[in-house]
Amino acid sequence: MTARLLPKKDLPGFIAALAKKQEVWAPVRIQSQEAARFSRIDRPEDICLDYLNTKLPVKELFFPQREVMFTFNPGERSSAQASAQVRERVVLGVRPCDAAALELFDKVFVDESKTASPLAESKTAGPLADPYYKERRDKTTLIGLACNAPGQACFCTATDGGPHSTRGLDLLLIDLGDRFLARPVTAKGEALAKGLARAKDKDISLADELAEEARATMDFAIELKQLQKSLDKAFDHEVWHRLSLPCVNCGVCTYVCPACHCFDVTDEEYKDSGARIRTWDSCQFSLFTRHASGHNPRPDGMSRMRNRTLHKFCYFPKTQDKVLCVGCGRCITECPAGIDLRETLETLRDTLS
Amino acid sequence: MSTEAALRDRCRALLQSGEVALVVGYRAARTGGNCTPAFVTGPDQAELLVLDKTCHHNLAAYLPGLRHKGRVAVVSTGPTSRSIVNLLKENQFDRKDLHIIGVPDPSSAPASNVRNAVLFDEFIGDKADEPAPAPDQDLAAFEAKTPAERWEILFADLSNCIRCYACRQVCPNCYCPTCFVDASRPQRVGRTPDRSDTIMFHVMRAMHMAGRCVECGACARACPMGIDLMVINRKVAAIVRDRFGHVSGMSLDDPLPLTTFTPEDGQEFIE
Amino acid sequence: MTNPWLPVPVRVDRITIENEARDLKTFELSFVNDADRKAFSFIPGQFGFISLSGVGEAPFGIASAPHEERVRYTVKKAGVFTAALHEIDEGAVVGMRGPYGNWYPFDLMKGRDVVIVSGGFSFTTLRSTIVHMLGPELRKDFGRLTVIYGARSPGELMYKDELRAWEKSPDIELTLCVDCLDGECWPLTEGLVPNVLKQLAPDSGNAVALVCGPPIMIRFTHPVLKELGFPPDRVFLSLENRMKCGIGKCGRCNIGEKYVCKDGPVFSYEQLLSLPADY
Repeated sequence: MTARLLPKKDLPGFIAALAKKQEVWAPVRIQSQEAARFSRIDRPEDICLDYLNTKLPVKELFFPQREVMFTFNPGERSSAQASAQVRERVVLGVRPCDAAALELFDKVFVDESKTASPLAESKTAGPLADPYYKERRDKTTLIGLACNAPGQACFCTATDGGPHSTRGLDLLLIDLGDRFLARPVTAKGEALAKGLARAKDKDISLADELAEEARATMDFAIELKQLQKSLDKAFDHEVWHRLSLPCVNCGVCTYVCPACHCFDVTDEEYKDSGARIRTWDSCQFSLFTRHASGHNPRPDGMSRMRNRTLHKFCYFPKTQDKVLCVGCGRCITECPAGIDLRETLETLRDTLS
Repeated sequence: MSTEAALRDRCRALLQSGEVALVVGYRAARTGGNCTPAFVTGPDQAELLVLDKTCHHNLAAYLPGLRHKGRVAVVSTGPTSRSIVNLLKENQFDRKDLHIIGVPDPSSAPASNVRNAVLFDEFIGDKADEPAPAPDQDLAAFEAKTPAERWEILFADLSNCIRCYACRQVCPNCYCPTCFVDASRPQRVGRTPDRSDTIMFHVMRAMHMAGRCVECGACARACPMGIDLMVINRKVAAIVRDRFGHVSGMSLDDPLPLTTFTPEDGQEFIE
Repeated sequence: MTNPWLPVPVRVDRITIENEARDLKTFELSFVNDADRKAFSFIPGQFGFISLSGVGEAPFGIASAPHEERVRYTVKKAGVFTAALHEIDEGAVVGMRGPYGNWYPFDLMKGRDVVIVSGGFSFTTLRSTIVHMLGPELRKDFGRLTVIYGARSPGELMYKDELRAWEKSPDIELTLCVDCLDGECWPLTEGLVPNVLKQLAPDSGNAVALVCGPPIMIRFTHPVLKELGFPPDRVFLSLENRMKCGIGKCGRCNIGEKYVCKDGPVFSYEQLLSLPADY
């Protein structure tokens, strides 16, 4: 596909043109803070493009923290009306790690695989795709923003990604100073960039150089396939007790994680309205797995921290062939106890090998 | 010898002699500019311990989880030691299972707070100068606003809450086996980031902090969304100070203001 | 695309209190819409969600057999949702979605003896299985059907009318056992399920065992089955874990890489041996 050029001075016009046909979402500075978060854009000047990464990953636009699954009439125990539709939209300024995580989300939420009997009989159940996620995904075009200066906690190169990776994106913008190189990835992305001037060879080679430079600043590497194999036999290892000691069992790492997708379903009933809603949940909370009987398969912080690590680096790759981590580093920068996932993985590698 | 080196030596000795089974302190994180709580069980690991300006965690928060696991030594700055005082007064830890290593607060954490440990079995390093009592100007500015303006500030700030409970989990005061937000029979607070639920959570939590919060600021530092929870906590602490003349966690002998009745307590709510 | 989150309306036709403690109720449900009834087909072992808009929803194993007219669930009053469900009256309309999960291995059971071992109120999906197997079309497909079902006391045994009928049937060898006879003596055996299983010693030569019960019963039943010569790939268990979606997305019912809702709830003992003990 043809790479194109978007001069920075033309960005407001480009966005205004997009906004004529659909909603535009992009990072906006959180009130009184350094951080940015994805918001619906009314005026192009609200967009903030000088962030390392958004406070919360782009997953919140596809899997909002609170989502209405259906509404019902209060008091009517069988009433259920499907929730409203979403509009076509463009999301601009998605970091490559966040976009890669949506590919992982697709495996969970758009999975059409059938239930199998314990003997893999032919008879099947399903389909099991989540209609709310799928609709949001289908109606969204993703414009990425490549990272020329990855942060200290970033490690996407270790998780099958990269600062200029196009995984999961429709179009990637690369900052070349006074202009962006626009790299279409899908037909949807190509259509968005159609009106822009073609990039020159020197623009493309400059972008490639920037990608190399960015990559060179990222030094964390780990053999994930090997780690997965060691983890598969490590459930009862004492190392988990040691690793989990500083963890305070809050939900920060799971909520800021672009790949964490666990949720709870609860009902809200008021005088005039009612809704069944899906909310983010965290495997670090004790209620997450507690049975009504009181029995809890994961009753302590150690077992919960172990499950999160194994889910990301052993269980998920076993069934989906990809780790459930894109190396965005948010869990590292936001952990109240200063736990560094990279150190955890290194300790596991060194202890279990 | 630096305070840090003296601390390492002392912890090594404590572990070697078997006086304690565990030292809770600080060690450097993988990336510079941050540290993480360290749980040192062997004398050879004492080298890991650090004491520098990145050491801001209130280590008392780990104590309720370490009950009945042998004698524990805790590296205690001013705020950590104040929380320990409260945990002891609230019977959350057995004093004889605890060895408090007092240190001067090396962090740049709230300058208004006590810098040196207030309760300790031994003190390592030179005592830092305690900050002179000064009027809390931020709080005064907040109080000068109208109630409507104050609500607006709190509403706007708390609307960013994602209900990750980091504030609660890092707080040494939050040791309830089942927090009121997690209770389901009856369910008092919804689980969504809905603003009324979120405000309910923070306001009820602030009430539970009255007379107990030591203003260490751990909750505000832990918040991934940058919510300034200390505005609420300082206001609550100021009310307790004015009404009961009580400053939380300064002495094992002060009665806990909200669980101790005295005839002098203000009772204007009885009309 | 179908929306798996939307429950369909079902009418509660009949409610039966199953035990003396009165905390087990069977709900017999019929579809309000004909199209929903036609679309609903399941195999014993699967589960569905009962939904009460305004309260929530929860998963339960289906206790009826596919050929029975009404879908039934037996529910123990344990938490917020089940307490609300127990307050429902006959005639009420509630929601249901499903079926989900896998089922007992009927293909493997074909032509073999079947040994069913169950304790407490998890007998539900095994009742479904037994009624299914006893159906006029199917019974001849299987060999001997041995059922051991236990409860703490006689008053806690569920489906009593059926149990009495099965006791007289030549198609099924039923042993009912209770921890304590409590003065009752209709063909009941005093003793714990694993011990009764050991005494009964059903032939494992060409048999499949289905086990469902509280963790403690399962723990003591395994060694007995092993002793009797049942290989791990011919012992099947139905597991329970807290779940919210039933379709492998909410992330909480996993045991290792397997989701109880999607890859289970029925697992062979052989499968479980390769998974972490996280349940």
